[in-house]
Amino acid sequence: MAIQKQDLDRLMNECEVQLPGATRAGIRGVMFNVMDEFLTDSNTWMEMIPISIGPNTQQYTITPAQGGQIKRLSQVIDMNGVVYPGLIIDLQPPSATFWLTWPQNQPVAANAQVFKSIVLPNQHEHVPDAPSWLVPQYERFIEAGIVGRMQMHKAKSYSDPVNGPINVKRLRDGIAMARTQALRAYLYGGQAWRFPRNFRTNSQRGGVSTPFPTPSTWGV
Amino acid sequence: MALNNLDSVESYILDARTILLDKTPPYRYSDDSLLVALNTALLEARRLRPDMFVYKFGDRMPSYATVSGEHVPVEFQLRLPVVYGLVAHAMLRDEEDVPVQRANAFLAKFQNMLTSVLATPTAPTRPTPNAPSTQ
Repeated sequence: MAIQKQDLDRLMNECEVQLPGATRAGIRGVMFNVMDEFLTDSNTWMEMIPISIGPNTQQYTITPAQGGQIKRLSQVIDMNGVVYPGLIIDLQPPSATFWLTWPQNQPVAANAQVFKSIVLPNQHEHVPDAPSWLVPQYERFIEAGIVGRMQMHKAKSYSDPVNGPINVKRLRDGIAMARTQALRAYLYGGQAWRFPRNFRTNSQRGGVSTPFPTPSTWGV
Repeated sequence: MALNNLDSVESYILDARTILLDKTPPYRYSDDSLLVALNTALLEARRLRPDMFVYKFGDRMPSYATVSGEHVPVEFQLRLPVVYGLVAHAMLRDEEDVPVQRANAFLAKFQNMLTSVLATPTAPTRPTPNAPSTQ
């Protein structure tokens, strides 16, 4: 799941070529910040975490099994596609505790869909413990972000206050594109996988009483 | 094997002695004085480029008390500036007429190589005829 060596080597080499006199330690430090920004803002690192909802229990703590820390909860959904309203009430990286809006009266097997970002500790030699697809999929944006942020450092041999903001802008463009791709589940020509908020028939913010749903409010 | 890849304390001192024209005993610059200069140059490098000394835990600086094969943890591209910083600090205490000018030149090279792309030219090893004195 971690970044592959060949991807990391290429990324480091590309950054070093553009940043004369930069240290690899400095590049890795900025790499963590850029990857965290990319993953946090793009919602591209998703995990479905199985949970067993018990009767009259509304508080659950979930921990990612595939690395990273939970940044936000997308939805809690059972095998029939029923969404259970809830919200995160506490973050304890890498875990999170969420609160179901409505208590259940019988056990339910469900999944919590969460979006994640990287978390400390790093891998060997300060390399962020990011998902393996991140660099192959979005290398040019990660690279632009690292180079741009380093160019914005003051009084360094690689400082470049003109091109730094341009490169950071490329990172932000990449984040926006990645967020849309993830929202559309990486389908060519596909629409977002959920309807716009005003047209949704379910949401995390209430409206669907899961213990005793009525046909008029099911909407799924 | 590389002749001198600036990997160890010994290699830094050896290269500094070459620049200082001090390779034959008895030395003008003792080992101790060059070790102090190396440690001081590393401290100044830390001020200008803290990213040279990033550790997973804690905050510490390498320093050396003997000329040995002990590794100096400086990345390849920044080893030459450390030599220039070492040489500059060693020259600063000299009282002959040339070294202060050369010391300042090496100090400038050291700082410029850490904070910009190009190094400043080094001052001549002996005074230019009819040149105004800088001391």
